[in-house]
Amino acid sequence: MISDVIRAAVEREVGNMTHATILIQRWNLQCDDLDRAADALKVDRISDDVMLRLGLHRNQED
Amino acid sequence: MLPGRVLDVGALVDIAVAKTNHSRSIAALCLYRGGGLCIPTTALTLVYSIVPLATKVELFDLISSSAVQVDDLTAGKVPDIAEILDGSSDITAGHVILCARATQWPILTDRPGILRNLDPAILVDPLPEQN
Repeated sequence: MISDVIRAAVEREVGNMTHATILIQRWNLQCDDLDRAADALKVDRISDDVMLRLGLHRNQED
Repeated sequence: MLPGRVLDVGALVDIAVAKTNHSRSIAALCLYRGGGLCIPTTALTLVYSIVPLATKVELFDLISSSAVQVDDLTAGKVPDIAEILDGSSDITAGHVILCARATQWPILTDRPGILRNLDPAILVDPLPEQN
């Protein structure tokens, strides 16, 4: 069923996001690193709210 | 389009030993934004053979994600890789290029010229040069 496909996709994406945040913290990546990567990949930068939840702070001038 | 990268030897070494944070950031962002990564087993084998034991856990943590495809070199891929190599002995390079063709993702690599010599049409994402 289509609902199962959607549920699986959501679970997969949430799982990937969780794994990614674990890696970001384990690897001690900083806002600048992640912003540069987002720009290189042409994807949205991680929001300030999420950065704060990860314990990361953007410089005011960024 | 969801972001993705094929990780060549240089990128995997960078992730393992953190010469820079570039490859780790690219890998984490690909996963965070719902994309994926492809790691050819030939490249992974080479990296496992050269990085310090303590750093292998970083690669293990990465490949444990369901969004990371670890691509086996199977018998069925031999003819395609052989065609890419066209006499070259760099099996890893051929495997990396085959993965990039299959996924349509650029290759995160420190040897763009070598890969382009084997396949001028291949997409590469060069690692920043280190001084």
